[in-house]
Amino acid sequence: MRAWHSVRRGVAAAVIAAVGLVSTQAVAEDAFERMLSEKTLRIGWIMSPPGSQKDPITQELKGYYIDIISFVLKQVNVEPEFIETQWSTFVAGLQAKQFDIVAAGTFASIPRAASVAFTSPIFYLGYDATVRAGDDRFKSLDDIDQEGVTVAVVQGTGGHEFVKRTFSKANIVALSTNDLSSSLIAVQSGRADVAVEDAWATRRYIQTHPELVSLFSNTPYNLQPIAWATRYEDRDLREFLNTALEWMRINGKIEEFVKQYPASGRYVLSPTYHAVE
Amino acid sequence: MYTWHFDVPWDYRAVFLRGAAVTAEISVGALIIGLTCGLVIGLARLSKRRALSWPAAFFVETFRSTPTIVQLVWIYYALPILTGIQLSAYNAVLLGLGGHTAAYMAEIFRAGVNSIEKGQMRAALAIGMTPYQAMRRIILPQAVRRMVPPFVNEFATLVKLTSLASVLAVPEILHEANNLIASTYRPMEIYSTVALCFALIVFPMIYAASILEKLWRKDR
Amino acid sequence: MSPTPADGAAPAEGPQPLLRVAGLCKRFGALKVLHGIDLDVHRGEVVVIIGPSGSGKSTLLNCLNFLEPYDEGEVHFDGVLVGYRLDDKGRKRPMSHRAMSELRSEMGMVFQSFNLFPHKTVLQNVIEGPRIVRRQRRKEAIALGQALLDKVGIGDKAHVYPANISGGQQQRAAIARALAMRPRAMLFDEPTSALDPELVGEVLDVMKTLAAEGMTMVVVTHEMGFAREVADRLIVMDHGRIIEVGSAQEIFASPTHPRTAEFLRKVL
Repeated sequence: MRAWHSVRRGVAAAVIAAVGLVSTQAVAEDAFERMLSEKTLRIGWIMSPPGSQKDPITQELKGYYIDIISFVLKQVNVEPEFIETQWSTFVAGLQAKQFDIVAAGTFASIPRAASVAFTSPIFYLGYDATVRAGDDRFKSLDDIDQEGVTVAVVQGTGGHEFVKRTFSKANIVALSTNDLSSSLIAVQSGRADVAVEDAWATRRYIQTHPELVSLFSNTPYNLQPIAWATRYEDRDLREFLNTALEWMRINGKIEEFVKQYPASGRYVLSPTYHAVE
Repeated sequence: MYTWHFDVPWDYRAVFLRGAAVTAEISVGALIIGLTCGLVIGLARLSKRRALSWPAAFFVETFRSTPTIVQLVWIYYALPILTGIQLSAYNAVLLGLGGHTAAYMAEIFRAGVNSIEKGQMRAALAIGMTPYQAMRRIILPQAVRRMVPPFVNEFATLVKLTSLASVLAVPEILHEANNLIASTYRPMEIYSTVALCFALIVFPMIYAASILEKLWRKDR
Repeated sequence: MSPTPADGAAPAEGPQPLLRVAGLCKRFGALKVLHGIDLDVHRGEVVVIIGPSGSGKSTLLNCLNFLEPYDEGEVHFDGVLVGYRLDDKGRKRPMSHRAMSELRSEMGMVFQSFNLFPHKTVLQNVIEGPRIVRRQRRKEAIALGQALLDKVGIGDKAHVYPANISGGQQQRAAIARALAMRPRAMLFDEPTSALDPELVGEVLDVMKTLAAEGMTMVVVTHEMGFAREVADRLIVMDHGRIIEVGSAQEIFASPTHPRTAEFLRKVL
C-alpha cells in the first residue's frame, strides 16, 4: 500500500510539473519581441524549387520565398536562420517552436487555417492533373472521379485536401514524402492513373519527362492563396509580416523577385489605383 | 520505355558523398551513445535491486515497443511542447537513434551475460572474487565474444535507420537524395544510387563481422 | 580471524570446530530443502556426505560458503558467522561483499561441472585468484600455480585451454585453482559425477593425497569406496535432514536407519 501511495504521489508530481511547464510556455513572449531582441528569426523552409531550394552542390539557399523573407528581415536588421522542414510536418514544427514562420509555397486552406495562422496571400496558384501520354480517358474532373481510377497526391499538401474534398469514387493514394514530384512518379511508373499536384510543380516536371502530359495546363482549377504560416499566438509577428508583404506587393517587389525564376503559372490580384483630389 | 540517366547521380556525386558523411556521423554518434548507455542499462536490468532493474526495463521496453520513426518525430516535435527542451533536428536524431540503439544493446548485453553458464559466476565467487570482479574478469570477457554477431547486426540496422532522419530534414543520404530529386526530377536513378550507397557502407561491416566471428571460434 | 566463540555456541569440550552448522534451514520458494541441519567439522577432519539425489547434500555444501544464502540457523567458519553480520540490536544484516569474499577465499570449492574459466589457460585459471583476490605478484603466483599443477599431475598442461584437456584433467586443474588460495578447508560438490568412469580414479587420488596431508574436507559424493577409505565421519542425508552419522565402516556394515539401508542397497 505504501509503495502504491508513493507511486501515485510520483505520478501526480510529474503531471503537475508537466502542466507547469506547458503553462509557462503559454505565457511566453510573442515571437516578434524575441526577433527584435535577439535580432534573428527562425524560418522554416521546404525544399520545393523554384520558390525555395538548396543548390545540391554549393548548398546555397535560393528561391523567391527565401529572397522575399530575407529582404523583409534586412529592412529591420534581423538575421534569418533557415531550418528545413517538410509538407507533412511543418505544422508540428511550428507548434513545437522549432521555427516561428514557414516561408514556403503553402496553400492557405481552411483546414490548415484551423491549426496555423496565415499571412495575407503572396499570390495564387491552381492545380493540374497529370496522366501518361496517350491515356485519353480524362477530359474533366468528373472523368477522373470514377471507380477503378487511382489518384496520387503528396500527403499533407493542399492537393491532398483538394482530392479528399472533390473525389468520392476514385481511389486516392497519399504518398508520405516531401517531394512534390512523387505523385507524378507514381503515374509514370504505372502505380497511379492521375497525379494531382500544383500547376507549377507539374509544369516543371513534365518539361523533362515527355512520357507525361498535363490535363489542365492552361486552365488550372481551384485557385488558392499561397501564404506563409505562423502560430496564432504570434499576432505581432504576423502583423509585421502582413505590413511588409503589403508594402512589397504595392511596390512590385514580390514580382521582381519571382520573375528571376522560371515561369510559374501563378495568378495575382491587381489592385487599381486612382488619384484622389 | 523509361530511359535511365545515371549521368545525373554521377554529376551530383558530391551530394551523395556529403550525405554519406552525415549518415556515418549519425551512425557513429548514436553507436557511442548506444554502447555506453546500453552497457549501463543492460547491467542495471540484470541487477537484483528493483530500483535499478525496473527503470532499465521500462527504458528498454519503451524503445522496443514503439516505431523508431515515431520516436524521432516525438522527440523533435512533442518533447519541446511537454518539457521546453528544444533540440535541433540533428540532436533529436542522435538522441532518438542513440536511445534506440542503447535499448537493443542493453538486451544484447543482458542476453550475452545470461548466456554464460551460472557455474562461472559461482566459481569466481568461490575463489573469493567480489561480484564486480567476477563480472569484469570472468563473465564480461566471455560474454563480449558472444555479443559480437548481434552487435554488428544492430549496427548495420542502425546505419539503415539513419535514413529515417530524413523526416526531420537532417541532410543524410536519403534526405539529400530527396532534395536532389526535387531539383533534378530523376527519382529512379537517384533512389537506385541511394540503395547502392547504403549497401557499400553496410556490406563491409557484415563481412568483417563474419571474419571476426570465424577467427574467434578458431581461437577457442 | 580470532576463534572467539560466537553467542555461546562453543562446544563444551575439545577444540572449537573449524566449521559449525547449527539449525540450518533453506527454502526454495515454498519448498523446504533443509530442515534444521546441525554439523561440526573439526580441523583436519574429512567429512563425507552421502544420500539419495534431492536429499539436500549439495544445497548444504553451498550454504557453507554462502553461494546459496540460507534462511534460518547459522554457519560459522572459524568462529565467524558466514553471510551475515549482526547489527547493534543483534539482527542479521547481509555481510559486505568484501568480507564475504575474504571468507570464501578461505574455503576452496570444487564443482561437479569443473567450472574452469574457458577464456583462460589452465595456469591462468590457477593464478586468477591469487592475482586478483590476494594481489600476489605475478612471479610468485605463477611459481605457486605451476607447483600446484605439478602436484595434481598436469604440470605439462599449464598453457593449454580447458576445452583441450580431458574431464579428469579439468577437474584436477579446478582443484589446483582452489588450492592456490591456500584454503583452510575444501568443499567438494560431487567432483567425479560428471566424469567418464575411467577418469574418476585420477581425481580421487588427488583428493586422497589432500586428505592424507591433513586438509579439512567436506565431500559430497556417490563414490562409496572413497567414503569407506578416506572419510573420518560419514553423514547420511535424506529429505533435507541428517539421518545418520558415524564411521563409514559402521554405517556400511549396520545402518541404523531404514532409509540408509535402502539407499545403501541401491549403491553398494
